[in-house]
Amino acid sequence: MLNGITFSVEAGRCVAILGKNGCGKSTLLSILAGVQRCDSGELLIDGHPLFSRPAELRRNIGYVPQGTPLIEELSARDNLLLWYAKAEIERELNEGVLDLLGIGDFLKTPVSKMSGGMKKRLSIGCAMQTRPPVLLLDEPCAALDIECKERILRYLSDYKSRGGTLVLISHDPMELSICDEYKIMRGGILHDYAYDGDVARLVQAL
Amino acid sequence: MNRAIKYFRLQLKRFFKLTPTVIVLSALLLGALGMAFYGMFADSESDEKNSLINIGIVGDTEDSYLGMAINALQNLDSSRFSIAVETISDEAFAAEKLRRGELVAYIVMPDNFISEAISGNMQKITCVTSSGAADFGTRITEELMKTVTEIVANSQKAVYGYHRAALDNGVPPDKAYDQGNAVALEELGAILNREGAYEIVEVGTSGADAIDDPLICGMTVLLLMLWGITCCTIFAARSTPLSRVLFSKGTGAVAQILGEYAAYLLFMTSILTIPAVVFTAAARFLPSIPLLEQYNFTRLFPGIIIPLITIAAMQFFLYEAAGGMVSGALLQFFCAMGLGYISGCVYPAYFFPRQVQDAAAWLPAWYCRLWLDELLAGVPSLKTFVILAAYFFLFLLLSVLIRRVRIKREGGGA
Repeated sequence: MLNGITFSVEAGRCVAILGKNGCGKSTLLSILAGVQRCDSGELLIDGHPLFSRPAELRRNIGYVPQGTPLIEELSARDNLLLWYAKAEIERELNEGVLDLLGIGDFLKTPVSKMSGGMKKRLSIGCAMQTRPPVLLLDEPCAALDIECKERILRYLSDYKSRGGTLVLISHDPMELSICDEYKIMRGGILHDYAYDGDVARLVQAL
Repeated sequence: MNRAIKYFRLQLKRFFKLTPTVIVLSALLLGALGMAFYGMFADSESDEKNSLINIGIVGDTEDSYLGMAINALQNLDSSRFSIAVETISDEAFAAEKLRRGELVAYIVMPDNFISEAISGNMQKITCVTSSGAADFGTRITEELMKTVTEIVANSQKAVYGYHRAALDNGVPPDKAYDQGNAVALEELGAILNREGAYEIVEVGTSGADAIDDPLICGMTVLLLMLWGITCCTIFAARSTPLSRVLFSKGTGAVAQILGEYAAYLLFMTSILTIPAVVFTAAARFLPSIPLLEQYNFTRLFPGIIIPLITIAAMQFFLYEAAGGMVSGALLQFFCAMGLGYISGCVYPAYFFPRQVQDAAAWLPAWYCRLWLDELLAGVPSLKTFVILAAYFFLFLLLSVLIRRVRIKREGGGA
């Protein structure tokens, strides 16, 4: 499905991966997250190869797939307990990433009763436990209202401004607005694209 | 703390949050099963005619031999599948009863059949069945006719033999004939009266409590298998994206499956504790209730844990394979009923053809039932335990493989 893909992203920047359904965008993200293996190739962060060092890969990469990577029946706090120690949660809620995401507002709410925006913020909060320098997101704002999107994108912009690197799969113009580079996947190959806000032209380019 | 252990603890918490739902669904399941089985067994016990093989006999039944043979057949034991022989004077009426399904067959006895037979002139008996197919009723009728023919032929030999011996010893011909008949009738009476021909001696097995009816073991296994349906809500909410994230963070498919399965088993065992405590307490304080007196619940409930481990693994595998809630519940239902039926959980296995019995002896439900049978008889075998353990590992292995495929293959769809 993927063929000879090579790209690099500088720290503090966001790259958007665009493409038609089924072209392999999510597969690429799965490979970068260590879920799937590629036949050959390497992922380098600061020149250090990670595929051969799983522990390093886990610490350096945060991954938020499509859907809800949460336990529906449990509260936000319970879900955070899967990734954080109790003390860590308190600390992050006071002045850390969980505070920035506003998770304290719905800490005791079961996931099944959360809005889509809350679920996505919680998912990002879980992925940020190791404070990874690279965050992979698969359509983070899909099916969210504008207010929720704005809140999530504000956090992602903040993450970027602190030196974080984002790799984002998206079809959403609002999401694309925070990206610095755009790449279109076609025929298993990534092509650079100069997105200027013209969605009609983007659709033609896909 | 290791993430796999955290995952197990959270799964356990998640399961227990769904306890009320599972208890309500379990009560509904028990109620439905109770009504179904009550209806099934009440019918068979209250209306014994339904389970009789009804055979009509038309023609000359006045003869003392034949009359006594028919009487003997009608007085055979009252097991569920006994034969009822009905004497019918008119063949047209017998044909009408056959058409209405009230008879599986009728036998037409020629006039003076017995006296002609005694004179050495064998006439043919005609058997009329509803179809030429070799169904159960037809086979029974064939068997009956063979038996009657054999009895008549042997009686003939006895009568002729006695007659010749009596004449040779100077007994007058008319008296010799009557005596011969009397001896033959007495002998037939002794042979055909099956009720007096056997005696059942019951012995306890290895000094343990004997169990009169293996049905309780079969029903327990069937109920445990069907119980999986009540957990469909638990499995419906499983999150593949979470599995992918866990995998990416080093908690692989094996750790995920073990964590979820262990939580499921612990949850099932905890729920099972409720009826276990109720039945054990009732058996202790209300020993006069026949069911509680008959079965050793203090031994049955702890013994259920072993088959429960295997059955829970099977249910887990089925939900993993099905994916969705409705498909999972349907798969549970059909597998439970199919396996339970073939494995002798509803009817004894010997009701089925030999090939089905041979196939059933490979199934997990068979060994679960066998384990409980053996346990209640006080002789649980290592072989059964090992086979149950092998099934347990097989189901978990298959679950892990399916989870791995799901993690790897289910992309974002974008």
